[in-house]
Amino acid sequence: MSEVPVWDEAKGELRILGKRYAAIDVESLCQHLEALVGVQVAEVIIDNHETRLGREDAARVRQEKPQATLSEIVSHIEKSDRLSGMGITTVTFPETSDKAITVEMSNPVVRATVGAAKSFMFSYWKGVLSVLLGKEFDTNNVIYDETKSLLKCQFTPRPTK
Amino acid sequence: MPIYSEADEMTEMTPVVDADRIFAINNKVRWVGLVTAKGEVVLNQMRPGVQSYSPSELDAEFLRLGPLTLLGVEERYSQYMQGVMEIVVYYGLTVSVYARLGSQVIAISIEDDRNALSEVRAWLKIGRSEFL
Repeated sequence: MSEVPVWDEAKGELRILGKRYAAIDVESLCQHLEALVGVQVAEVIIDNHETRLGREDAARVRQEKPQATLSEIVSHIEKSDRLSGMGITTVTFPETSDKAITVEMSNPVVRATVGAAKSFMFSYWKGVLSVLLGKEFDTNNVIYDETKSLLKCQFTPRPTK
Repeated sequence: MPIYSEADEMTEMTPVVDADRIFAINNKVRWVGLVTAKGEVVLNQMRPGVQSYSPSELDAEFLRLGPLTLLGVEERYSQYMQGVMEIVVYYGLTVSVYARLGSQVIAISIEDDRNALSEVRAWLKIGRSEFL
């Protein structure tokens, strides 16, 4: 499987790590959805979609690479982010499992810290982490550092009853 | 209006009102659902003894985003129209009502009965101020 995006102009086809994609204007899509249903509801709609995608992709990668470590699977999905133009994603795990996991995106495709764009950037990882670590996460402290062009989010384990 | 007492541990995932209270409004109320503002279903319950017309998995899937999306669309007019009280959908067999209730969104399905719908809407009117 190619490690770079494969663009076949004759077929009008773009593949990243074997999966077919279409390049779209994400910022425009997020703004359109927010204009339609409001910022909060748009955030929930994209969150629902991206969390499910993240869960499915993580489960698929784990099935395809049953011997891979957590770190190797995360690296593979970080690479998928990079190849699909999301930005440069770095996931940092804390020393103890009760602390927050940090996901940073350098040069992110969208930079909003609320709304549909926020969910677009981070909810996918919420789904990935929930499958890989077997627990649910909430996203917190989403910030954008303009000087570094760095979007950052913390994923805290959801307390279990 | 009996809601959860202060002794109960209220979390985002705790239903703001229990199903029995909604069923007590009128015996034509068939089903009640509650979802958080983040789209997490916290209640999805048929009245005991009543058979659902739709599959329960569809109810849960619809509840996750359906009422929130409908309210989101209509709330674009909120600033001009003094808010959205509730959304009423008339199906062939039943009537559905969607409304915000405190931090959550409630969905209620009723037999197609004018009196039952009026009582549900009257309860929601009181409920809205109670949960603010």
